[in-house]
Amino acid sequence: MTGNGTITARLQAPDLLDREREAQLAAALARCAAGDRTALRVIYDSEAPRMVGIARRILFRQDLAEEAVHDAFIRIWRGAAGFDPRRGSARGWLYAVVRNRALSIHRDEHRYEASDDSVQDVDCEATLSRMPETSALRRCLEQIDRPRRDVVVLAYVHGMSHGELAGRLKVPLGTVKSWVRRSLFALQECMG
Amino acid sequence: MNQHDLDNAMAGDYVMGLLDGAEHAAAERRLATDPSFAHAVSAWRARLADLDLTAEETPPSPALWQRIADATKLAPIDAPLEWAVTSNGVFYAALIAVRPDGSFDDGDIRAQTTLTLENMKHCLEAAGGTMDDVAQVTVYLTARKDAKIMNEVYATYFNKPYPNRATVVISELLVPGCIIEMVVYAHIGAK
Repeated sequence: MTGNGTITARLQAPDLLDREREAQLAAALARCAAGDRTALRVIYDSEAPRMVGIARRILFRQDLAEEAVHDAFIRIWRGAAGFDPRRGSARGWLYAVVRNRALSIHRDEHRYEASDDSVQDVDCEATLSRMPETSALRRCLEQIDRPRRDVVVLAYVHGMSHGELAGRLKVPLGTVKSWVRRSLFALQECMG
Repeated sequence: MNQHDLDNAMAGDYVMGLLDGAEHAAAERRLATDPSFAHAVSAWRARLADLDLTAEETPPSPALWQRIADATKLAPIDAPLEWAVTSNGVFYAALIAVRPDGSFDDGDIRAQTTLTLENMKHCLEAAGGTMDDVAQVTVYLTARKDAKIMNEVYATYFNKPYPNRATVVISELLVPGCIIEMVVYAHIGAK
């Protein structure tokens, strides 16, 4: 091994790598729909670690996060024919499946005890700072004042319901609902 | 707000995960049937997608892939049906001797019964249940003489108290060479 392959790969622009990965995932989903189980493994190898991370931000426990990813892959396998590349990215579709499963487990298990330290540790600004400087979503979120923009991160990233948001931000339910509504409206105006 | 704004708001709340159980189910139904709602959902997913990429990549435990592989042994079917569905905690399935690659096992009654019951077990496990959750089974046979061996194999897959069961002998099944089909109802997690 000379390592040349690795160096070449690193020289590619990140968005080119992303586009390649997206094309591979879309092709793998089409192969899943045709019954090719090796394609499910391709998706797993590429996306499972990120999917565990996504589920863990909602469930705060590795075992529950893996449960969500397990359920998600069964749905991906059985529902691959429902993925339509004209309607969105393959990655977005995969992540939506795992978020749905994690949210469902979160609701069924009535988590977020008052004593749950990991929930208290949630830092919305740290999440924002992990987004690339070039991200339109980051730029548009930063234009919304805190704590109104926090509802977007807390709901989308950590799966909090209106009630949980009201509890954490110590504002009435109606206020939370209005913040969500106005923040989403502002994002749509800003991002198009 | 007009209808378009209402739909857009519902799509946003759906992608955010803010709809409650009934609203969420209604949104999923519309997603499957209403192209303009599906379009609004896609737009919201695309807007919020960068937040997914802020999740730290966390390696799953090594056993996770094997569990997924075991639970997906049945190939998707080229027909307007699912091997199994669940609704309100009730599991419904109709199973035959299909192999993991989607091909059909046209072997003898012992082979077909075994594979049919293996498939039942995989579907139940995929739904979060076990064979102990099975409430009722209807066994369809194409020959009366096959009942004895079917019973022998069947008994090795269930524990007492056994599920309720009917066994029916019919002239033929739709899949060529298929001599047994099982229709099963289970209450996941009831026991």
